[in-house]
Amino acid sequence: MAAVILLAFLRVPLGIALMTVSLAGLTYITSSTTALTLFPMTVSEAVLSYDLAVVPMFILMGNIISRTGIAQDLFRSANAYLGSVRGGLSLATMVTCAGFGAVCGSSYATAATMAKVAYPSMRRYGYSDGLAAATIAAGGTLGILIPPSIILVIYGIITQTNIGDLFVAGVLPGLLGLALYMLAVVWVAWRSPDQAPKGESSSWRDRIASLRGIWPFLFLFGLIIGGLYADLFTATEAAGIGAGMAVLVGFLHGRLTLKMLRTVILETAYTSISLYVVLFGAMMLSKLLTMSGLSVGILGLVEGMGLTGYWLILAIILICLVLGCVLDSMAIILIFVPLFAPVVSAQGFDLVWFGIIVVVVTEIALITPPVGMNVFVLKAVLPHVPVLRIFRGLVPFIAVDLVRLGLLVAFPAISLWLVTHV
Amino acid sequence: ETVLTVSSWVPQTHFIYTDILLPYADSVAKATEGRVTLNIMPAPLGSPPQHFELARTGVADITWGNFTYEPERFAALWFAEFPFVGTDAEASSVALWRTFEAHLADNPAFDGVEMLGVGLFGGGQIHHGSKPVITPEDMANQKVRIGGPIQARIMESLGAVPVAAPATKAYELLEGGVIDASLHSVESVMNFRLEESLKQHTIVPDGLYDSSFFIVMNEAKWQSLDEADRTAIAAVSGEALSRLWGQQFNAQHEKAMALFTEGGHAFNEPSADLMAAITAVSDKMIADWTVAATAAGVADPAAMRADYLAAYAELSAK
Amino acid sequence: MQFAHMIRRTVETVLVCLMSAMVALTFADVIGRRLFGTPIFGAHDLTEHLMGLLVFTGLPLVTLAAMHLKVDLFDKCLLHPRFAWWLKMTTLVTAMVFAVMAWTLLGKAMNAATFSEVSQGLNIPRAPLYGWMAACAALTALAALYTAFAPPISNAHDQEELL
Ligand code: NA
Ligand code: NA
Repeated sequence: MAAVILLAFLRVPLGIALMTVSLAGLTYITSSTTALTLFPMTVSEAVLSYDLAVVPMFILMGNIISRTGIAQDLFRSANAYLGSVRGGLSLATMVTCAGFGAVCGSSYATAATMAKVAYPSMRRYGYSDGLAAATIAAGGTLGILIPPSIILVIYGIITQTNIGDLFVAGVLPGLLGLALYMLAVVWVAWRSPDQAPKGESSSWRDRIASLRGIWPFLFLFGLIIGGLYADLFTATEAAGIGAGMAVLVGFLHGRLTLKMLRTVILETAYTSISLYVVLFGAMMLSKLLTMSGLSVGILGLVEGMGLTGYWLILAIILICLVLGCVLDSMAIILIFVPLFAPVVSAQGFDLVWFGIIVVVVTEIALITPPVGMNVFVLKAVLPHVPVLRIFRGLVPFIAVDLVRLGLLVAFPAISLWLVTHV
Repeated sequence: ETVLTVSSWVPQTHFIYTDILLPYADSVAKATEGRVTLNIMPAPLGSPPQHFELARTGVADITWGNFTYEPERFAALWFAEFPFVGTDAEASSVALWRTFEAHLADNPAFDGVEMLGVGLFGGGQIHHGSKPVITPEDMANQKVRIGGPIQARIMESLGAVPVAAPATKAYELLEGGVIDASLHSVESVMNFRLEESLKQHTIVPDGLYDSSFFIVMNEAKWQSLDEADRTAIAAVSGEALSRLWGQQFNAQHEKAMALFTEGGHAFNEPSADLMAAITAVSDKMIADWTVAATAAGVADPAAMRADYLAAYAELSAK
Repeated sequence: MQFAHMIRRTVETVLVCLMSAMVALTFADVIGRRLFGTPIFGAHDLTEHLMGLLVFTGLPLVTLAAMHLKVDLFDKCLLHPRFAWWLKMTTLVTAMVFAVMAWTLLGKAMNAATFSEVSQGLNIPRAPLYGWMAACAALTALAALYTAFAPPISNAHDQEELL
C-alpha cells in the first residue's frame, strides 16, 4: 500500500504503479507464475465486463451534454437564480451537479462534464482555482448517490438487495448532501471572500427566460428518470440510450456537427482508456488484498474486538474511510461489502440503509488524498490545476460529508423513509 | 499442515457457500485430522467463467463453477443439460459423478485438475412474470432470459426470443421490462429474490434443462499432498461431495416450493403439444451432440448418455 | 511524419467507429425490444468485445500522448532537470508493465485457442481478441519507450479544433 502511494507520488502513472506493486506483491506471497497468470485474466475480466462498459457510455453522454451546451444552459439557469450571492457560481455548480447526477450514473462523468461547463465561468469571475475545482470534484460525488447509480447497482447485486429500493433510498441523502455542500460553499465564501467573488445578478425576466433554454436537459432528464421508473429500460441501458438521445438532441438543437461529434467521441475514448488502465491496477490490487488475507485479517480484528451494534458500524466506517484514501470506490465495494454485509445483516441492520452508508463513504473516498479518483478525473480534464490545490480546496466539503455520514448513521429514517412510503 | 485456497463467486450468504463449501471444508479438515484445511477467500479471484482456469493454472487450489460457462471446452458434458435429465438433484448429481468416472475421467479436457465432485441442480423450468405458459402458443415471441447455449437453442425452437444474461441480472431485466420470463431452477427463483416478479411456474416433468457444475482442484497441488491425505480427502469427495451438492439443492427446492405455495404462486403443467415440441428439439440436440462429443474425445457418447439415464433411474427410484 | 499522421488519423477513426457502434447497439437493442419485440441476441457479448477492442486499440495512442493519470503532488521538485532521469525511469517502468501485459496476453490467446474459449451468448471465439490485445499492448510498450526519448505526441490539434 505504501509502495503504491510512493510510486504514485513519484509521478509513475497511477495505473502502472498499482499494477507494478500488485504484480510484485503477488509474486512475493504466491509465485511469479501465479502473478503472471492472474494478470491477463484480470485485464480481460475488466475489458470484457458489460457493467464496466456502461461507464464510457455515461461519460460520452456527459461529454455530449457539455459540448452541446445542454449542461451549460442548466448551469446558466441555476446561475441566474444564485449568481448574485457571494459564492453563487459555486452554488449554481452544486445544483447543476445534482441535476446532472439525476441523468447520469457515474461520479466520474458528472465531475468531467461539470469541469468543462462550470470551471471556465468560475475562473472568469475570479474564483480561486482550488475552490472551483473542489466544488466540481465534490459535486461530482452526488452523481453516485442520486439515482441512477452504477455503484448502487453493484452493491445490490453483491448483497442481493432490491436495486429499486436502493435507488429510492439514495434520493434524500443525495439532497441532504447537496444542501450541506451548499452550506460549505457559503462558509468558504464568508471566510475568504477573495476566493469566491460575487457574480452578476439577473433580473427576474432573465431568470424566467433562462428556463426556456433548459428544455433539452428536461427532455433527457424526463426520458432517463421516466424510462427507469416506467421500466422502459434498465439502469445500465440508460447509459446507451442517454448517449444516443444526447446526440439526437444535439443535432436537433443545431449545436452538434459531425466533426464535433467525432472529436467528442474520440475524447471520450481517450478518457475511458486512461480510466481502464487505472481500473486494471485497482482490480489487481484487490486480488492481492484477497490473496494476502488482509481483508480477512481486518474482519477478524473487528470480530475479535467483540464489537456489536453501532460500534461495529463505526469500526467499518473508519476502516473504509482509511482504505478509501488509497482505494477507489469500486474496489471498496468489491472487496469489503461481501466481507461486512453478512456481519452487519446478522446484527439486525437494514442492508438498504447500510448500502447508502457505504456509498457515502465511497463518495468521500473519491475526494480524499492521495488517491481520489474524482480529483484525477478533473485533473485529466483540467491538466493545469495542481492536484494539491484541489485537495486543499476539498477540506470543507470532506468535513460536511462527515457530518452527513453522522446524520445518516444516527437517523436511518433519512434513507429509509421514502422506501417505506413510496 | 497444508492450507488450500478456495475461490468462490457467490456471496457468502448463498447456500452453496454456507451449506456445501463450508461443510465440505469441515469434512476435509476432519478427515485429514487437521493436516489439510480449506481457506475460502472472501472475494472471487476472477469472473465465474474463469474459475476452471483459475484451478487448472493453480492461481487458486480449489474452485467451483458451471461447465457450460465454457461451452466449447466441455462439449462432452452437454448431455447433462439437455431436457429430461431428472428433477431429483441428489440422484442426478450422483449419476453424473458415476458417469464422469466411467467415461470422462481420462478425457484431455480435464487435464491439469483433479475432479472433486460434480453436480446438477435438479431441473430448470420456465418462470413467467405475468401469464401461465402451458401451450407452444404461450411461448411464442416471449422474451426469455437464458444462461447458456443449450437454453438458447431450446427457447429458439419453441419460438421464444432468448436474451442472454447471467442469473444475477434477472431481477434488473425483469424490473426493466427487458424480459417477460426467465429460465431458472425453482430454487434459484427464491435465491435470486425473484419470487415477487415471477409467480407463474411451468414445471416440465424431469426438467426442461439442467446446469452442470464442477468442483475441481489443481492437479499438481493434489499430487503434492501426502498419499494418506489424498485417500482421506477422496473419501469425503467424489460421490460423497456430489451427493452433498444434490442434497442441498433438493433441500433448497423444497424450501422454495413451500414458500411459493404459501405465496399463492401458480404451478402450470405443460400441454402435450408443448412437451412434444421440447422432445423434438431435445432429439435434435442429442443427435448433434453425439457428433460433437465424438470430436471431443468421447468414445461412445450414446452409451455414456444411456449409462447416465440408467444410473439416474436407479438412484431416483430409491 | 506524414505517414505517421495518417496512421494516427486511421486509428482514431477506428476508435470513433467502435464507440459509436457500442452506443448504436444499445440504442437499437432497446428500441427493437420496446417497439418491435425483438431484442438483438448477444448485444451484451458484442458490447464486451467492442469494449475490449476499443480500450486496447487506443492504448498506444494514449500512451504516446502521455495521457495516463498521474499524481503531480511533487511536480515542482520532480520536474526540475535534476530529476529528468527519474521521469525517464517512469516511462521505462510503464514500458515494462505493458511488455509483461503483452507477453501474458499472448499466452492467454494461445490458451484460449487450445480450449476454444468463446463468448457466452454468441460463441464468438476469444483467441483472436486476446491476440489483438497482446499486439496492442506490445505497441503500447514501444510507445512508452518512445516517450522516454522524445516529447509525447499530443493530440493538441484536436483540442484546437474544439475551441
Ligand atoms: Na446518478
Ligand atoms: Na481517496
